[in-house]
Amino acid sequence: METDDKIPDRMPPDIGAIEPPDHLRDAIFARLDLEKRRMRLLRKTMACGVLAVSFAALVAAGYCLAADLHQSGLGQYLSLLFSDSRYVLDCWGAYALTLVESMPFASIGGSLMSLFFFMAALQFAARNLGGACKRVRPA
Amino acid sequence: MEQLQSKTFTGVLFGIGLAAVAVMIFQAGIWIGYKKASFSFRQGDNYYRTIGGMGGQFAPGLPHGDFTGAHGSAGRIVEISLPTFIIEDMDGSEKVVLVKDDTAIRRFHEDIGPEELQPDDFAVVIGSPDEQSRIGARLIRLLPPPPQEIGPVLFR
Repeated sequence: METDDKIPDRMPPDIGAIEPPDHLRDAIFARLDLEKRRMRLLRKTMACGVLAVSFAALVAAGYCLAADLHQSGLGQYLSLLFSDSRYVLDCWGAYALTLVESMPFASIGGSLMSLFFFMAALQFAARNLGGACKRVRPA
Repeated sequence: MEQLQSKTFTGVLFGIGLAAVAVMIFQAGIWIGYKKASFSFRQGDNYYRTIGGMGGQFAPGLPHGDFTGAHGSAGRIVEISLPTFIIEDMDGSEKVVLVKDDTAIRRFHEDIGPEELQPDDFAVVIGSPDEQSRIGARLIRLLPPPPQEIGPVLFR
């Protein structure tokens, strides 16, 4: 009852006499649809951009990691495990310290961060490009 | 007893465990960093004492940027003067390796003597640093040299 009392204050007194323009409903829904499509396009563009940038960062980080791993000699130290395991066990303390010292932690951290951002971008893209990537089932 | 099985208690327990692991990793990082830094410092000290003057940031034979590892080296032998030899590490630094009586030197499947080491051999050394910034070798393994370049020059 309270709402019924308020309506006349807000509405013009001759509300019943006003006719809506023709096609108003269609125009409103068309405008809403246009806005929705525009937002979807924006999100898709953003998802593609973020995915491309994060992929480029992942590739760059991978190259850095490969170069640092090569420079650190970690592969050579690890190969001792297979070729000289008995000797490695004899001096396992020094061997473990050598492995830890030679690990390129900065590159590993950078690569993990890049991988994290790439996977997050992939998830974002999957959410926003879902329609584009949806599998079409044969009838 | 129900409180001990609550999510809050499990969360607190997990948090304490995580903090303990983080502190231990941090402490290990400090310890290893100290070892590397003191080795590099002594190495630089010996370098300047031998070569003389200030070599600058990019002095040949000294690591560029990060500290070099103190417990091992992988690289090309550049000079042999038994019982020591100088190895040019893959990170660009030069390290003095001390061959001891109990050092195992391996080539393929056989043990060899230190006199069979040759300049330009590619060696992987595992050992412990001494006060003179030499690596007291426990194991020296001779390997075929790895390929020189990995990745574009841009990322070096």
